[in-house]
Amino acid sequence: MDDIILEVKHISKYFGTFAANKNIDLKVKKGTVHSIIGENGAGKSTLMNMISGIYQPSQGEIYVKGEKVVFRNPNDATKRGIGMVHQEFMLFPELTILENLMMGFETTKSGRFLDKKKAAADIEEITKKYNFSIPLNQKAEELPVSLLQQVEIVKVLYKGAELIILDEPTAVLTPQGIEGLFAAIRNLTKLGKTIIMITHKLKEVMEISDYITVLKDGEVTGNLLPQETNEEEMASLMVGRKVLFNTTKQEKQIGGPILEVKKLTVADSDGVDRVKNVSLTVKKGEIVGIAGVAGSGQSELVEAIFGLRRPKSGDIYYKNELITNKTPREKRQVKIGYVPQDRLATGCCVNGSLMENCIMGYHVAHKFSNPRLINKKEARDFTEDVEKQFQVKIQDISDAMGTMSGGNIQKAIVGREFMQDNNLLIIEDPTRGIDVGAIEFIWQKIIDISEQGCSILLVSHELGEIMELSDRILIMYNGEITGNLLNTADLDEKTVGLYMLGGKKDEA
Amino acid sequence: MKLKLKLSTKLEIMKYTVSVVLIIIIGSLIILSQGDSPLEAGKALLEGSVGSLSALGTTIRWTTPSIITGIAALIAFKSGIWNCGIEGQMYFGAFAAAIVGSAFTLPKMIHLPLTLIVAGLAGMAFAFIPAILKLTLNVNELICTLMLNYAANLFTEYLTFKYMGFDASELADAIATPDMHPTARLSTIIPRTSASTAIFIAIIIAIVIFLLYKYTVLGYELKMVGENLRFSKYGGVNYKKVFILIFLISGFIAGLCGGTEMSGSFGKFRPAFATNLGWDGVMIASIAKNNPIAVIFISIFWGMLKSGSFHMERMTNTNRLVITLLQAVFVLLVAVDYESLYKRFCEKRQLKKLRAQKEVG
Amino acid sequence: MLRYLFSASTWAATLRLSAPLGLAAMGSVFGHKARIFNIGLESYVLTSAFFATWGSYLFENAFIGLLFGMAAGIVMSGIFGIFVLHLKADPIVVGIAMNLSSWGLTSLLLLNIFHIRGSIMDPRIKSFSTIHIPFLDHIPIINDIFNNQNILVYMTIVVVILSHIIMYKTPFGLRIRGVGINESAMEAAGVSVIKYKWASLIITGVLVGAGGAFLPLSGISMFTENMSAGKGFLAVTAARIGNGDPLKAFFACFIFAFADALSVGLQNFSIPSQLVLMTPYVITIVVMCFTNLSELRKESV
Repeated sequence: MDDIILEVKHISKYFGTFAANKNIDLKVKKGTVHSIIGENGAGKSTLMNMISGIYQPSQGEIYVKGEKVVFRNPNDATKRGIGMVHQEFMLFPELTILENLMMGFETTKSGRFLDKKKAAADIEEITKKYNFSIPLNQKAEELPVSLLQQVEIVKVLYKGAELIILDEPTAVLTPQGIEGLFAAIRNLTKLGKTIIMITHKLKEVMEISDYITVLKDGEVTGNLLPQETNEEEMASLMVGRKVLFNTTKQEKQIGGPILEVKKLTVADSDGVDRVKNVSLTVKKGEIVGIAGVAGSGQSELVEAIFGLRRPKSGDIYYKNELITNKTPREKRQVKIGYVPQDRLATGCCVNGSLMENCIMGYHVAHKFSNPRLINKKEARDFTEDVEKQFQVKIQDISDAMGTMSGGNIQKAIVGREFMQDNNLLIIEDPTRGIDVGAIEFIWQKIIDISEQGCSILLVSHELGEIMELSDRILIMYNGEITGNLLNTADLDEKTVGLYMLGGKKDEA
Repeated sequence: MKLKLKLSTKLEIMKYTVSVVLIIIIGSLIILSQGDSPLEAGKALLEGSVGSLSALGTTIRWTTPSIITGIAALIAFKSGIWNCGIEGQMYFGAFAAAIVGSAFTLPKMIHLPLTLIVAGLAGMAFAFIPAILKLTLNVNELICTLMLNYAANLFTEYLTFKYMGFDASELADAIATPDMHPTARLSTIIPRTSASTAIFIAIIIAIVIFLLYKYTVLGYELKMVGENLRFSKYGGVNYKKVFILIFLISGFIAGLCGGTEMSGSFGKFRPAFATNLGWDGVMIASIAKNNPIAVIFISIFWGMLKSGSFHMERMTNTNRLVITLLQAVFVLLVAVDYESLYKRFCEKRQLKKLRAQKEVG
Repeated sequence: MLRYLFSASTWAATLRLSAPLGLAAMGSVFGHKARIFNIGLESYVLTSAFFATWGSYLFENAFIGLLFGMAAGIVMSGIFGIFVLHLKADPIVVGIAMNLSSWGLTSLLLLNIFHIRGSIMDPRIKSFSTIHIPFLDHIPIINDIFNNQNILVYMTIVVVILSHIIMYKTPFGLRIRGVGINESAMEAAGVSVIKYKWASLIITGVLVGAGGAFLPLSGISMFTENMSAGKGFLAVTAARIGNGDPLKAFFACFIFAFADALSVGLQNFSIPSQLVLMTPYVITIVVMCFTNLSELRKESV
């Protein structure tokens, strides 16, 4: 008989009037991997935040090893042996890994001063036991994502966690990185630790879990065992219908080159080269996907192409014209559009109205009948077009952008860029964190617009998205393009993953 | 959705009501501590601001620079740029106006506009320093303009000495530029007061800026830069151009205020002539929360307080410093973010309700 | 002239003038590391200068004056903290409003308590005395610079060193730095962000209050309206230039103080007084330009 290490009874959490969790029951057995699956917004993270003491439940109780507990803050949970690895890493980039691990859990000597030596020795003992390897004296900002994740796991172990919650741990990893993580998880459970893993990737769930709990709209819709279920059943419990990303593709004509990047080198704001000597071509009507582990230089590359970042060297040609140092304004004027990765920070203005958001860019690329004045009728017509064709759900176009859901905001941004008859669109993570319906909708729009002759440079951290949409796939690793593959039916994720990890490289 | 819109308006109204009530309470307490009756002081304030024609004139006289500096500050703040150098830019404008107004004799049709425009240009030139330092060397414009205020005050004093051929051993208070010619002066609208036609210039500036934001592409870009800088850059707004432009417009208007102060009331430049007029503008702009029309109304209130405070000081024991203090405290009260407080309050109430329900159930 | 400017007496004056700035800058450093942009420090300096004068006047004791000054600093931090941390007001607006209120408040109090406008000078206001360190007598230049300084000068040096130790060698300093870098990570680590922000604000209040108290109590024994004259802004700037590092920030203060000391010296050379008085402000801007220049260079390399 297994011990129940954690039990959650009738737990609910409300934000304002919105119920993020409704009456949830959960039992987790010691030494197992328990997966919590559900769509974005199903309430997985909220539940975990309550178990780890970040939120307090509105109703319900939590029991650890049969004992009722109330967590007022994460410290209380830590004391009970619960540690969480957040999806967004909770790290301090400017501090060393050692300082990161000590934060909030400092070892001191003579009661007052930091004892870094002892802390380092304690940590090394843990890393040896669980087979991790992390450099303690390097700054966090200097390390790759996969190592930072190890740092996070070591951090919770260092704080004495028995139960480790991993929130979407595989989102930032390559297929090979995921295998490494799973090996570590198996090692941890073998040594008696318990893992709760939150994810929405069904394949991984089947591979690693001992138990599965499905959440939908804040409620438990199923408790399953991996050997008795399949992906279809889980999917239908997650969304209440079968998820099939049905995009339809037609034969299309691919023309001559529209965008040519030649030997581009781009540095980030710290002066470190993030893009090294990259060359690529996008042809008319072609969708070129760029795959790669997060932080491989994709963002810097597209920012340089769009003009938000000045390249150090190299040339960018657009329709055979040199545009390397042109500003975003000039690039918009020659019909280049851009859907940025961070929709709230870069893609829109949350306090501005939908109309103010829609005419941004339009006002330089298309110009109103009098270029100095805002023609309210033109602005309104364009906004209404975006609203209708991209199914943006908003009461009135003068309502603030921030009142809409993430999916609707993204549809509005995509709509704004797609409706301006651009010849080249640079699209970065178009479906990050939005609901399934909106994903399907945006994917279809991307395919449609390329069939109408628009060229697309698509950057995504979801390999599935790249595989689904692209005609050709480029792989970026450590600032370089290491692979250039035609997306044919026999191309599989494993191959691409090998490139993403730098394990395979085409010669230029 | 309609409800939410109403809610934000409601919160705005609540915010100003609460602030006004609080400031009246705080003000009464301070006046009591000075050994006066708040009612008496209030009466004196009203009498001194609208009680007579000359009081009205003084109110108008002080409303004018409040509007102009308020707009100068608003243009910068609305785009998220902290030009706190209104004071210094105004000094340069005033000095330039005093020189142009006294050194030449020209027909009024040319002399007056020339004086005012030169004043604006002088303010603009001084505002160019922090703007260019920020763009080329990324020097924080807030600290830079604060430092430049001190420098401007001292430098115009130095220029006045130099211009008048005195050396620095003389008392600064005694020194001033020559009287400006009548051709460079604005006409008075209420006899025997310093209420001048400058008030019309002030109102016109406020309206022009209002229209700029409402109808023009430039105004749209200025606004969006303030709301979300990254978004505007990405949308094709030329930030460097817009940034310089904002500083130049803001500096021009601040300098112009120096000009109207010279042409409208002072008639000659005296070092350190306008303690805190520029800061009045900063306060008004932060109360007006980015609305040029609100600037006009708050400035009228400001003008009333200022003109009333002189009368109050004469009639009671209360020093007019009390009013200066209360104005600053009012800014503090209005700065409170009621919307986020309200949201937090709602969440707590929700939680309590649930707990109560559970205990009953 | 140059010999005069770089003489030991100029350096001694620099050290003396750097003390109030240095104290205030150490206060600002803690705020800077906890990512609190506090332009209201100017009001701290002015208010605590006034209260220090008053305290010293009431008890005819400089130490009580210093305590009054620190208490005033803490109260100012309290106001700033309530508005910024709890009522979510814009820190810059709060800072500006506090600066303007402190100007009105101190002038009003001067009028109410001392029945005077402009400035107060009274034999009852006691300053801190200078300290003679005998063993320095025999070291030529060092003696001229470091010996016979005001006790607050020595205190400042101790405070700078302590600030450095607290910032980099203690859990408290580590957490203050953490709060400034990533607030949500701090919450996840179980550290209350608001608690540490308050702690840093209180330290700011105490140290800037001490810096403000230094102004009237370092020998001149008088308070003048607006006597802070931008010292609070300089403290903020010094902390920014040093990026929150106490030693670097103090070095910046030393440069500002040198400009100040020079300006005192320059007045003897028939350079117009206004231009002389301008130097500290202009130097501050120039220093900001240079530090940024070196940073921009780093980026382009």
